[in-house]
Amino acid sequence: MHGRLKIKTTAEQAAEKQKEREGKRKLYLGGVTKAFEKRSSGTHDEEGLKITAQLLAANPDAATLWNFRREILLALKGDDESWEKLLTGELAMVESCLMKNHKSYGAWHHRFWVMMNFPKPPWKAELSLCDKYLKLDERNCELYFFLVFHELQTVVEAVFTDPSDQSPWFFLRWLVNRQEKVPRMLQVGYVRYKGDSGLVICVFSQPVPQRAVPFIRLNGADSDETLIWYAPNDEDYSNVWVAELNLSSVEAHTISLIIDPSMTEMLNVGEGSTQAIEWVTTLEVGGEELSDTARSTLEEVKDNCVTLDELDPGNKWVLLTLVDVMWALDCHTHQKKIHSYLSQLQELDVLRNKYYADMKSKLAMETSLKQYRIVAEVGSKFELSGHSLTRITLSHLLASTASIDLSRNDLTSISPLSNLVACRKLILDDNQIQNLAPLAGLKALESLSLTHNKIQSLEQLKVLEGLSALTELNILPFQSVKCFLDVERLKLHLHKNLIT
Amino acid sequence: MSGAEDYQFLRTRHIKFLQRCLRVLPYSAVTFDTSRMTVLFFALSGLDLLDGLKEVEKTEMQHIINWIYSLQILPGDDKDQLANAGFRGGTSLASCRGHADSVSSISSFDCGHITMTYTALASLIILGDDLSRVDRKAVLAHVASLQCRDGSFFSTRGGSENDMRFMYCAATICYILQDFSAININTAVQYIINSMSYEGAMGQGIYLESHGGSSYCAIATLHLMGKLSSALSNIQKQRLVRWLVSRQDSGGLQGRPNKPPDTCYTFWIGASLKLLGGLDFLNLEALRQFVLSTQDPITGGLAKYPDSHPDGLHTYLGISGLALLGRDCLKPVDPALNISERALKHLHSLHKSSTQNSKSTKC
Repeated sequence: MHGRLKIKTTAEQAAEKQKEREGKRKLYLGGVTKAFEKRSSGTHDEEGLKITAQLLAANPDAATLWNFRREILLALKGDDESWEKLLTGELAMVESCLMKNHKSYGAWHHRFWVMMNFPKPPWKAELSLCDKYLKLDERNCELYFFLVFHELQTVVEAVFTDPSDQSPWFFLRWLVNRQEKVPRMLQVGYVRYKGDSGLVICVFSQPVPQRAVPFIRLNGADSDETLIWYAPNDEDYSNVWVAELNLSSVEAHTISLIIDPSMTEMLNVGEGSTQAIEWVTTLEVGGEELSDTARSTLEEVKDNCVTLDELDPGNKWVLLTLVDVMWALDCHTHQKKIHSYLSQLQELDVLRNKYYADMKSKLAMETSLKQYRIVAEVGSKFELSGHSLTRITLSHLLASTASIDLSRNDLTSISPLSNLVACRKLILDDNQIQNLAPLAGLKALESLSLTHNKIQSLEQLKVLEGLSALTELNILPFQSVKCFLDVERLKLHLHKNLIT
Repeated sequence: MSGAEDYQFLRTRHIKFLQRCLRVLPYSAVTFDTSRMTVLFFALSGLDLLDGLKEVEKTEMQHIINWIYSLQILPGDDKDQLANAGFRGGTSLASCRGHADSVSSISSFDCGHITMTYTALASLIILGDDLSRVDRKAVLAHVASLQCRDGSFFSTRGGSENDMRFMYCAATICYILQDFSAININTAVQYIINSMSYEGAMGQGIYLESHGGSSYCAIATLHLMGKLSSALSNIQKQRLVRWLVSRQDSGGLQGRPNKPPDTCYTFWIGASLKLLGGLDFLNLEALRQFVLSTQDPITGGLAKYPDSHPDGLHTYLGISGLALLGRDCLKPVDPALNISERALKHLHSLHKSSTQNSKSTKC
């Protein structure tokens, strides 16, 4: 039994903590009483500053103590030089309070008061401090901006007083939205499209330049493979980066990606005609996780808006904010409600009908992709047909998917589909598609279905010439044309079918 | 006019209006003399989009080209004067006589203005000129000298405010002359990012109210520099699109929240959305009806609001705004340079031939 640490039981620990808390509470109350005594007797001295400093360090939200502190400071005000010294000391004191709770309304308000009382306010230093806090938690700028431009109450009041005035809603909505942070690598995939020929696919959360793609090593080699990466959309910045990589189909391989010195991702590629996907991160589709303070702020805004919607139904700004807030909280759980708000908005705000239809598409895609991501099996199928989709978003999340069905929607532009580099089977029947150019780079495509679209002429099909794996093409209603992609022969086949 | 009627586009009247702008301006426009180059641009580009340029005589076109070049300040070999180059807005401050020759600046008050330089170059392109008489080195030096440390631009060496408008002019000049080395792209992009407010769009500068005109200038600048997709994150783009889309108020487009709709924003907001891929989020028919309601049925031309007096700026921006929508038999317009696609094609052919020339001289 020698040398073993004495570990207290949970009950003992709890009791100790309680005793500690009691002690602190007694000290605090003692201090507060003393402070109030001083205040009622009109005593403004150094000791008052000392006591309030200690109390505020423990609880920076005690507004009365800040008020008392300001009274003391004003009473101690002397010449410019000593005043400046006093105020500078004050800034340091507030900063130490903010370290404890950088969201303290009282502390920020005091800081603002101090700044306004400076004969020559050190704004430059102030802004760099704000910058520092902004980097820690962007929610902080809400506090500072409130104090400098509006108070939170004023904004909410403005919004309740005249819900049809646009300006405060923009401000409120800005508070609600999350910021994307650094781009992350989401996924790596490999698809063999013909014989030994294949593609390595890297997917990122944001468009990145080519240099962001990590180095690759094959089968435990010591040196990096030299690959030529290209973006499916041919731009400098892309979510998806692809490179040709031939791997013998009679054996298995391991692709290693060196994402950073501490992190390597491994992808196992099987034999034969194969498709491999590895999700590098487990983070959500929409962005990073919400902090507790962010979540509670959003919930508060949501409740305010729900109240406002009951008082003043049919107000576009309330509904828009509710859409944003619920989406930010969790678009999947709130999907039905968001969808119904968007439908209401389409009726209320007819001018922006198409904008809301677009948001509905985004909602449908985001929630489906979230589900897909959760359920992901290697090389699985993604289906989102019959959803009145007007637009495809987040197509980069489908870069390694084998089978995709987006039939029976309202799609006109399919340019995001250029990202579907691993797709073998693509179903796009019953849409409004005219231009097939985005499909020109889908090397792995074997079967393509385009019946009931708006393809004006067979010339459009010329873009499919480069797709060496394509063997099945459905473009006529009820007809399936199995062919090799020789355009002349294709035309002949189709012509035959037209006649019959 | 009641709202129930469908307005018609009065093409011939607008052509007449713009032709008058080319020939003589009324006395009330005398305060615009120092910006006469912009009025010329509005008239020429407007006629171009209306397919009315063919009615302008070849000799008159040459006359105009010469007039534009006469307003170019040629510093010659004087290196100190290089930054005083560029184009003047009108003849009022110029010490030149005659149209064919330019006279170098003899006064420090006689210096180029960045907006006049942009509209001069654009007008030359529209008229089919090959820019061979442009002193490229001087013009680029003039642009370079106007950039501030924070990335924004002044308009003239004579002194002015610095904001987003002149940043756009700088970007167009560099694009036309195919040379962005004159400007610090990084600080320029940073200035644009800094001018994005909580509203989601861009003000004229940092901490300033988001505005349709400055947002257009910022977005078009990023596009011309090839930075539009990389400089803005997806969320920034989404907020921007939403702010722009929210500017449609009962048909027309406003410049800022709670302001009345104004014809010129048809282009500023419309082109911004076009560059961001969101133009069809607007109700285009309602927009069109608003613009047509600002036409003057007697004199031609378009005004800021319905039942107001038309002017060159609103006439042109209303027309190019409508051209974005692809209706009323207007020629297609390039949203970034604000000239017709035909004129842009001419510019690109000039670019191509100049790169070919430089390649052949390299051996």
